[in-house]
Amino acid sequence: MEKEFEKFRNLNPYKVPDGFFENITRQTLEKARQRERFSKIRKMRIVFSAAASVIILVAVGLIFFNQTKKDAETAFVQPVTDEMIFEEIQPEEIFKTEPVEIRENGIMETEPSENVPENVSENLLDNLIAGLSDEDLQQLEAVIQEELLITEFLND
Amino acid sequence: MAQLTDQEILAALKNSETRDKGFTILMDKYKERIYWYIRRLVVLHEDAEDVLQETFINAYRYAASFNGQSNIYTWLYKIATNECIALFRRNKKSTVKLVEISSKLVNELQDSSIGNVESALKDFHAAILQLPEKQRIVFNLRYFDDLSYEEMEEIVGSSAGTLKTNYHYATEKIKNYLKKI
Repeated sequence: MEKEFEKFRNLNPYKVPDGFFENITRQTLEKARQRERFSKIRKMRIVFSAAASVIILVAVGLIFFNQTKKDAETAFVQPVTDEMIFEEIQPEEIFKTEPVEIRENGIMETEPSENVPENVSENLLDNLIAGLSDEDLQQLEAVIQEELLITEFLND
Repeated sequence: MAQLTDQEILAALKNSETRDKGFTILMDKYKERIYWYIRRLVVLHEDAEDVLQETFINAYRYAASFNGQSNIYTWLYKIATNECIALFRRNKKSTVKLVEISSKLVNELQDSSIGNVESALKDFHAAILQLPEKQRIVFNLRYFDDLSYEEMEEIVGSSAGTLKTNYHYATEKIKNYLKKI
């Protein structure tokens, strides 16, 4: 040790406020406890945040899963189209040719066939007409007009 | 009450039921010694008070992780040193030169020291404040706190050889500073 410094070893140039050392232990202990409490609260917040995040993730996952499942189920249920109805009910069953009896006066009469399904609804006919294009409708109208003329001619 | 050994204090500090009591005994035993170590490094009382409190708060919080292989006071010195270095880092701007920091500390020494203290003592402390950070820490630990190089190794984290070199350079610089005045 340098001898020339020895005289300064136990001398202190600094001053301390009165009563500083008496109070500092109590103050520091109080701060340490407070810090500990904050630390615990912070840890709890982190745990709660993590738990909340997991719950939200699971909830979102479940919602997404259910939605996907629902979509998959509805994907197999195709909407009923007119074509599908016609596939189920064959046109020949609807427009089956009736036996025609020509009477002596030349009038054609048809007998109701037992084959004609009675339960064919008007909706089916409506759907059929709705599915026709304008050209088809015009042709259908022309055919009906012709049939009416023939019927009038025969009646006369 | 009989004076507790450091091991008994540490055991009390680690026990949740006697923690506060252990802390009070620990702080009452070492607060002045650690305060003066800090004060000589940071100069201002307010800074020294903050660093002292942080040192013992850390001791309170992390006592459970202290394995007790070294002395409890070297552990406290180590915490205090780290807190002082953290304070220096906070206060220091990268653009400020070492000379400017030292001058600031010397001015603070003039302001916060006892009025009628002899000027030679002030010059001596001013000379210490001119030292680079690590040399200042090593000089204070060795000269004022009379710690061995083995204890200083634990506190500073350098080898005894490096610490001896630091101390040697520090004393040379202080002598040169005092000669120039």
